[in-house]
Amino acid sequence: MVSLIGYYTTKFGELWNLSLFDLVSEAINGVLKNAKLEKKQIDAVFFGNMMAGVLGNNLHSSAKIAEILKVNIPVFRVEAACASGGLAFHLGKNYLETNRVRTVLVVGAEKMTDSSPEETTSALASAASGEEQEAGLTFPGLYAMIAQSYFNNYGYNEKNLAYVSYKNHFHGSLNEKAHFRKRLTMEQILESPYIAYPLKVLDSSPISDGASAVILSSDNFLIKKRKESVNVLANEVATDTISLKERKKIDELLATKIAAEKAFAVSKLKRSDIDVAEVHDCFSIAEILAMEDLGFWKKGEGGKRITELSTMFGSKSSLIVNTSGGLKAAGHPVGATGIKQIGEIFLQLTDQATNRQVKGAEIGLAHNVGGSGGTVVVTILGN
Amino acid sequence: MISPVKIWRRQKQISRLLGKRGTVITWTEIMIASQEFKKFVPFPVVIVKLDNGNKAVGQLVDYEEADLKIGTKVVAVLRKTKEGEREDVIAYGIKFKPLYPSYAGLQPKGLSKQLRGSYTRANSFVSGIF
Amino acid sequence: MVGVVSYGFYIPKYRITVDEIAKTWRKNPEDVKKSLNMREKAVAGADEDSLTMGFESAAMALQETKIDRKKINIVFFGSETPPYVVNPASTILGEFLNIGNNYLAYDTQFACKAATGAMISAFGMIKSGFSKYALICASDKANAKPHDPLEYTASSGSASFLLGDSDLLLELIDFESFSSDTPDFWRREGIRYPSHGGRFTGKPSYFYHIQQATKVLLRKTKLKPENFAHAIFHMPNGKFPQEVAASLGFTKTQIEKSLVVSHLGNSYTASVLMGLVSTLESAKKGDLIFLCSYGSGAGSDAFIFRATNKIERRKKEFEKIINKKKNIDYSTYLKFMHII
Repeated sequence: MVSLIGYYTTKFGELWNLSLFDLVSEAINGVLKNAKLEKKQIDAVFFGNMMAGVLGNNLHSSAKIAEILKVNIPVFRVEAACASGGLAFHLGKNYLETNRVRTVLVVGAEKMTDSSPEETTSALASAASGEEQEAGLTFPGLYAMIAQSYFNNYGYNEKNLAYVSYKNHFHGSLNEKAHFRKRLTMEQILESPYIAYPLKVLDSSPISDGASAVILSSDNFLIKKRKESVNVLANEVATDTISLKERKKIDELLATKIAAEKAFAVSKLKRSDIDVAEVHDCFSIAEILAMEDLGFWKKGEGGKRITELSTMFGSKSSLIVNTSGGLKAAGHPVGATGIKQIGEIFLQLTDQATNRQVKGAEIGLAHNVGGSGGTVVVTILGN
Repeated sequence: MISPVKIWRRQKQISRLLGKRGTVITWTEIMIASQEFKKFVPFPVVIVKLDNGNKAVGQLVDYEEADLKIGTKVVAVLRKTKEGEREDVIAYGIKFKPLYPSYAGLQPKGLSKQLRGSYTRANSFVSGIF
Repeated sequence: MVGVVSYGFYIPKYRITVDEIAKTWRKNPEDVKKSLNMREKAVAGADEDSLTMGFESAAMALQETKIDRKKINIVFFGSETPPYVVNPASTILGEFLNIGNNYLAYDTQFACKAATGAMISAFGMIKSGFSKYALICASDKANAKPHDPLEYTASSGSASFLLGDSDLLLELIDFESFSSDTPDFWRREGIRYPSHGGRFTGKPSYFYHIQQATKVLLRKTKLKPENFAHAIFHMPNGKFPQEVAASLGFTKTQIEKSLVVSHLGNSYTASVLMGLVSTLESAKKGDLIFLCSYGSGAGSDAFIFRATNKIERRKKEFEKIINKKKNIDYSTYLKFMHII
């Protein structure tokens, strides 16, 4: 059994003073301190990052991290667009299980504010297919098309989307590491300008810098030493076409459904067992679809269910979603998000979520998506 | 610089799509675009289900507001896709045009049989010969 | 016998009126409309150029014919606004039309008569047996300097003709070409807008060359203006073709159908051919048609065609199609023409 024995995240936001590797250093040092480990006790590092090559002309991060840590252990860079963090976690966990090592450190990081918004938009578009890029599509554009299809099939509109941002910004106000700490009103969200019809600025996660790290171990001695530890009950990956047009259904992420089915089967759990979840809300429509595709809500009901705000902190319901603020309010430094999501569940399950602690949370789920649904990682944690 | 080799390879796929007809299955209107498309903002992008069953993606051109909906019938036309630098090879590609622009109404009635035949042929010259 | 097997045309959706342009420069639109005898012109969109328009008209020309495209061994592209100064648009066209690789291609320039000159060469090559068919494409997204009088007339459009030696809808009776060195209108390499000699573009240029070419051809064939059902002359504006027709003895009725310039503008190399397309909509079997182009620099190509019995079934509707249009304002026009 692989367990999480430490977690640290930098603040997410416009971190002008910190370079990509400053962020990576901070996260690595932070998580070592948190797990009360020394770097010589780490056997391998997995690094989730999407755009260091395209934006910073920085590749060969394995050597860069070896330099920062002053180690000679194996380091692996993993990329799957916005699922880079989740996939790095998956590979780290599997490395641990197949090699006779004791600990693996997984760190996800992204530096996005050194570049102009156009450069960043272009870099993010590399997660889309060549044809999609040729057509001038942006990421908001792809999810906007998904939203249009969903609206057309089930009769919803932009108002249904606004509830997601409203809820997640409330959560962000409770998370000191979040990019955005201010609550938003429904009017503010609905009146924000369009970036790709029908998605508006306040339907979209921001451009942020940040890094998050976790330490995994399969060493019982190390795990028992830690007061706070959580088992990885399941961690499954599924893929789908990179092109949105080639999907079987445009308003459904098949990879989410497949990964979720596998994760629940492996862990022998039911949807109703999940107390807290971090789902991939890169755009408000994505959270609604995630709730359906993960199996928490019936297909087509999402637009209506979200208006009940049952998944908002403070509600009496049995499942609270995105207490970190989601990608929307906590921010979305692409490579870091997958790790932050897992880390937030870790905090909830070990009673460390302070003012946003969901009482009695015992089992949690993290859902990380790459691109418009080409890669999905679903993780279930619990004890 | 846009790679001339990439443009050359893409050329072959373009001719296969030119003139093909289909229906819009989803769409958006891009208000904030990446660098090469900034000049053309705002512009709609559609995913089209072609009559032959395949799917295609591209911008919508020569449209009226009423055409921006799921279900609009379109035809694939040749247009410039990227702006590029002044010294670049020109990138030509597929965009979509509504088949019967709503402002002109539907196919005209009351035309003599022979003229209606040639109207259909002329206006819908793209009847899949490609 | 050689002639036209089929044809196609493309006019972009957008129009800008003389009023809209005149308003910008504080000119009285009625004065301009009267002096140029036209009211609006066609403008291609920002993502259109002479090649994309040429493809549309050529595709239309090839669409109905059941010919084997691999038998088209000639592709000529005539334009004053080709997409490249070095790199043939004719081969890009050939590629997108699936013509294969066994063809002769080149781009021609001779101001507004680039395409008609190419037609003459092509007719010769078909007659000599080099090729069974030839595709001639005329296409321009004509540009003019803001505030220059050319701005009212320089427009976008394309016309394509498939020439051959059988199954013709127009037979070529004869032709004549008249050339001289007359610098009435020119554009230097690397310079964006054309320049012109003002009134010099009239009598010694447009009128002289068209008149000479016409007189020579009529004399050669022993025909008179009254023998013709229709006549088409190049249209730099709405006045010149009427005046030159009258000076040669052609009537208003004969040229009536051809005067597309009044609502489509002057699409340079496609101008006179668009007049032919418009005329063909009303042509009947046996009609004799006179056509004379003009290219600055300068020269004129004059043709005499006879419509065959195939014309009735194969002529294409023109007026209804070009009336599907949308008016734009001056700033949109500048964006479409990449001036801003």
